[in-house]
Amino acid sequence: MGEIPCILSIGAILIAFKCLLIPSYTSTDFEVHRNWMAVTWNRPLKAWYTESTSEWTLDYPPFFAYFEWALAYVAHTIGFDECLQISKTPIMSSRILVFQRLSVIATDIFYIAICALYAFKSPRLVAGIPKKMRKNAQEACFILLACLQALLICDSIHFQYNSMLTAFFILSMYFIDSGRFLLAALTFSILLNFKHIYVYYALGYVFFYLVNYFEFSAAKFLNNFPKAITLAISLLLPFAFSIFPFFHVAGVEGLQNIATRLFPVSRGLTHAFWAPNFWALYNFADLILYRILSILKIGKFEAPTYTSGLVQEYSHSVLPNVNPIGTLCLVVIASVIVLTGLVIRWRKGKDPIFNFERIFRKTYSRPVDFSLFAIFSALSFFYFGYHVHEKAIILITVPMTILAIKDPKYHRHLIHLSCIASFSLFPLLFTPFEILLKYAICVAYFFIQLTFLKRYTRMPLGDLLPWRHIASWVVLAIVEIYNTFLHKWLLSDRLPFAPLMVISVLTSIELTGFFGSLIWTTFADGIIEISWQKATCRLREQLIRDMTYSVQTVEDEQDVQIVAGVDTSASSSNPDMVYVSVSFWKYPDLQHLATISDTRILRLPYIPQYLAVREAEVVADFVRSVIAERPELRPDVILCDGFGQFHSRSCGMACHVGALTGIPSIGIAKNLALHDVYETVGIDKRAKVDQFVDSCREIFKSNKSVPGFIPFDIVEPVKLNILRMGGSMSGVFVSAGYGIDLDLATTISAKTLLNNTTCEPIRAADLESRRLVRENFDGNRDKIE
Amino acid sequence: MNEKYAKGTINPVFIKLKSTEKVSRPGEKQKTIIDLSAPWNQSLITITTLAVLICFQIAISLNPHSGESQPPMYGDYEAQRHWMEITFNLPIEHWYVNGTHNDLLYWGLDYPPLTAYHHNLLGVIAYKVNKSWVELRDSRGFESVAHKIFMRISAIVPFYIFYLPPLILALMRFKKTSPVLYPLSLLYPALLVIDNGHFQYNSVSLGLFLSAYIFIIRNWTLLGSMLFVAALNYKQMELYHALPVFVFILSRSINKSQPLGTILKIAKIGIVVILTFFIIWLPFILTGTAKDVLIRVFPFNRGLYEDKVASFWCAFSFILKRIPMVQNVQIYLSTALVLICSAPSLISLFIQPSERNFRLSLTTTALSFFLFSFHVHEKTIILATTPALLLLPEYPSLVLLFLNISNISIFSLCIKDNFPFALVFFFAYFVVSYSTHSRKPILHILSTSLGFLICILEMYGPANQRFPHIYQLANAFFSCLNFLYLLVSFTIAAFEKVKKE
Repeated sequence: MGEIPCILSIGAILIAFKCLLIPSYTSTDFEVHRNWMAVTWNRPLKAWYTESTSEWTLDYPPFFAYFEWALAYVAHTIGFDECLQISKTPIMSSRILVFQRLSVIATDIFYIAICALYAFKSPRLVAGIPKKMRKNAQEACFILLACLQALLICDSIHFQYNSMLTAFFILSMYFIDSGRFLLAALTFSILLNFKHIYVYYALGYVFFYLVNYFEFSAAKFLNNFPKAITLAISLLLPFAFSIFPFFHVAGVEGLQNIATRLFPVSRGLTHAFWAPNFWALYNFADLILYRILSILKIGKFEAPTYTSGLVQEYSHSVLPNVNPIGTLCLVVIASVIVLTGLVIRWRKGKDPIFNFERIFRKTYSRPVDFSLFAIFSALSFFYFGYHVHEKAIILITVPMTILAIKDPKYHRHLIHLSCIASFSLFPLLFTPFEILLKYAICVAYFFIQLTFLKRYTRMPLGDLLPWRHIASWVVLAIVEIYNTFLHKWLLSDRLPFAPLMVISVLTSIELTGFFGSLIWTTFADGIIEISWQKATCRLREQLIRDMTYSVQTVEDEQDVQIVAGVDTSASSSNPDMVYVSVSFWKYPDLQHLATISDTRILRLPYIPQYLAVREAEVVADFVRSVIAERPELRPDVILCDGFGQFHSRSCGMACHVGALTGIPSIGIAKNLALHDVYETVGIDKRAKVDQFVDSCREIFKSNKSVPGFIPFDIVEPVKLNILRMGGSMSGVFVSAGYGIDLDLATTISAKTLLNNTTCEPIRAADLESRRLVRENFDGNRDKIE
Repeated sequence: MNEKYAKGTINPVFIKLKSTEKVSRPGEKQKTIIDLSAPWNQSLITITTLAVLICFQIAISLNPHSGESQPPMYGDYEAQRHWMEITFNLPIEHWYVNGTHNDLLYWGLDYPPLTAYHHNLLGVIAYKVNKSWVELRDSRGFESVAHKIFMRISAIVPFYIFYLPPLILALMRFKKTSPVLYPLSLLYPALLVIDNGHFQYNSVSLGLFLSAYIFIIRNWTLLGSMLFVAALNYKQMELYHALPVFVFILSRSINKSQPLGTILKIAKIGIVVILTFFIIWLPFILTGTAKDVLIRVFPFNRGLYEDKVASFWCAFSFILKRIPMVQNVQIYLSTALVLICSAPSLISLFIQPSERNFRLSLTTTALSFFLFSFHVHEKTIILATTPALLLLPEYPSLVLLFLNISNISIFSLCIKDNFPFALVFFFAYFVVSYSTHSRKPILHILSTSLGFLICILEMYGPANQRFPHIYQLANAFFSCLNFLYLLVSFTIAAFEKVKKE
């Protein structure tokens, strides 16, 4: 499918679906927006924010009011004047319904267009993605954004104009991606003047602009002043347009009116339904404490009122009360910590001195994407903010979708987040047809996500759905079904808030987990995480050296029927994405049985001397899954490219693979990096190593066509044999992995060598994985360069 | 520290390998190379399609059904509800007979016994949920949200039980297919709009027919014919498919070398068919009302067509009305035309009873019935499009045109049901079908666009005093022309195959 057909089909399906949803239930927001239309149409500008015939007063910033006025103008022009009456009681008719619904659908077309613009035209969306995957990535991005389930539920059923606002945010991201920072700031400022909730992103913008827009080198420092001024102008311009008319007609009082409407004070810490954030847990803890203490009759506490399901101010029973300023402090502290971390990482990615190791190893690193700044900023606000609506989770899912497309490491985070979002949005709809609809929509979106993410990365589904996530969804689904279908029937009207509370507590636990794991994945190459990974790796190596892992050892060459070579090849544009291949061969006559490959994502960083951290588990998992599928191929020995026990900690990659699969393993390396050898034998024996290598060359030269091996016996016990079949000057370096001794390992290796230097099973796996990388990730190398 | 190197001299040892013989290399490498990474996963696509499908079904269900709040007759929705009421409350001998409690003029049962049994079952369930839904006489015109949900779910469930499994099984027989095949065939709007919007239980009879098809092509002929008889006894319109089914079974059963075996085989099938009929009709035979059922099911006393339907008789009525001769012989003429038009494909099927010919013949025969037979509803077009769905991988252009035109042809019905937004759904299907289709037949696209134009005129066109139904008639005429073109094309397609082989 090309771009245009994709946009057309998805757009047409979405519009059709939304049109079919026109008769569905609408919340009070429907009347709210109708009333705003009426107010802006019938009242003069200065009365917009004071008019209060209906209880649904105008409480969005002026741009939204202008937008409502424009809608009212359209309604008036095409003869829908019945929408435009100010009335205390709601006005509803099928014509009004159709008009308002169609107005949402019209703004949806704008949203779909912006999604298409971002997905297909953003230069940075696919910059870090292997070439052959880019088209699928762009289509996935477009489809996942356009079909966002939260927007469908909130806009097309519940009734709001979130898609239009989200479109402005995506547009701003598009400008940032194409490096037009001033336009991006302008768009964001316009968005803020539509709906002030988007201030959730503000801190993200601040930090991102600090490091990307301003320049900190001494030479260019003076450039910052004009830059700051232009930025300030583009930020303030929309404010001037939105606020000035009110100032002009009503003076300072006009501004005060706006401010009191925009920031109402008499609202509680949490909404009627607790959004899945920290305060849901806080309320819950308070409630539990209150119950325990009243049962034990310790102290006297007032009964909590936050379980009433009403929007009001309340106080906690046992735990200290939380005021808006306190939550704001928490938000700022949390986001400043995380965003500063991002900034530091960004400096690291940019600065060659910090990044020496990465360049040296050719590991990939990219400057931190804006979507991460946006996510962390919005997430902190959502998590610690005062009176957060559950709908605000859209503010996190949108940049998360974009981040996941940019970096496939985050796919499972995205899927988990959208499931949490689905569950926390369910209480919005409670009428019979809409209950069915909300489930159908969320399930459909879940599968759409799976389908298109799978199409993009070609990863196995298991990689997108860790067991822990599935378990949490099952629990949530059970509670949700109980809540909808059984609770009324079992308990009639008692404890009406309990199931809702359980849902929000469970989802907030999941969101906490999500927050944590997002931080963990993002900062996985931070010092703490690296130390942690090193420690766990060392622990595992200790277990390996102690032979704690069970393994089916081979004692004799006769036992070996099948050998397998494993290898991985990484995409050149994104080294996190690899193909793992395992090639099975009959032993000793080396008949090729099968070569099986699959894609995987390496989530852990490359740490020098700790290669196993990054690859071993992925490789072992893959081999295990292949053997589980085809037990007749179970190899007796696994051959790995690399070293086994010849290693600075006597535990190379091959040992890890052997221990984790329970199959004896041999490490066969083609090259011996002297640097590694010094580290292994001790830097003091450097001269001896050099001498040894030289003498090896001599020996090989003098025994030209005799196959044989030289034990590397500088250190005892011998852990490395230098094996050569004849002809060549250099050999291969064999070291035993796990569950096998060096002599047998050498004998087996000798028979798998095709000519002098290549081990046939490893070579087959290597060739196959490279071929697949070429075919599915990067395309023909020659054509790129 | 190694003793050997105490003095600081390095002296590596070269150990010769014992087994120096070269291992034998296999001459031919048999390669089993499996790449587990795949962009599409067929079962995932199917599940996703199903999830989207159910979204659409529920969304369509939200919309008004036929005759919603339109007393005194309401619409098909009320008819189905009324049948639940009748079959639940009255003894079986009164179902099809006019009586004190059963006014046949108010939506009397006019479908064969299986429909009646189905409604009886639904009536029992409805009674369990809420008595007032099936109260004799007092429940007429009953409408409530809960009842609407009950009815809507009762129309969605058989879709998944009867219709979907055989359709997917039939589609799975195609080896290499495009990923949009499932979405295009499962989300075919006309059926969804008629079943979930207008309200009928077509998925039951079509599902039974599709399962019959599946079993017959796999040579489970007995089971297949039983299922087909069941379909026939759910809706008599399944007769549209009867001829090809008969010809296909006959042609496959004939074994020239064993005439006796052939006769036995056919006799066996015949006995099974008669037995199935007998069992289904048994209650009516016992109560002696079988004849009343027959009269109700085949209403020859009704007109040639109802409303504005895209059949030949209606579309060309402005010409045919002027030919007096036609009026007198129309019943013979219609039968003859049906037979003439379906004959070529039936002959081709008889000569070459291949699966493809079977599907082609089912489509052409049903289409010629729709176009030329007596008393046709606009809804009956889905009897022709259902076998056409199975031709989608082989004749994508023709079938896509057929599906889109059939959507357009039922739009008049949607307007009557107060459900104009169905057009957006039809249009989305049109956009998806042609943007994912590799070839873009310009003429087909133009023709379909013209159809949508007519639909828009139907909604917003200026009213004409002299011809109040001018737009509906235009739609019928337009659809009929397209259907005639498709009839010819499918017939030719059937013969092309014969020539090639």
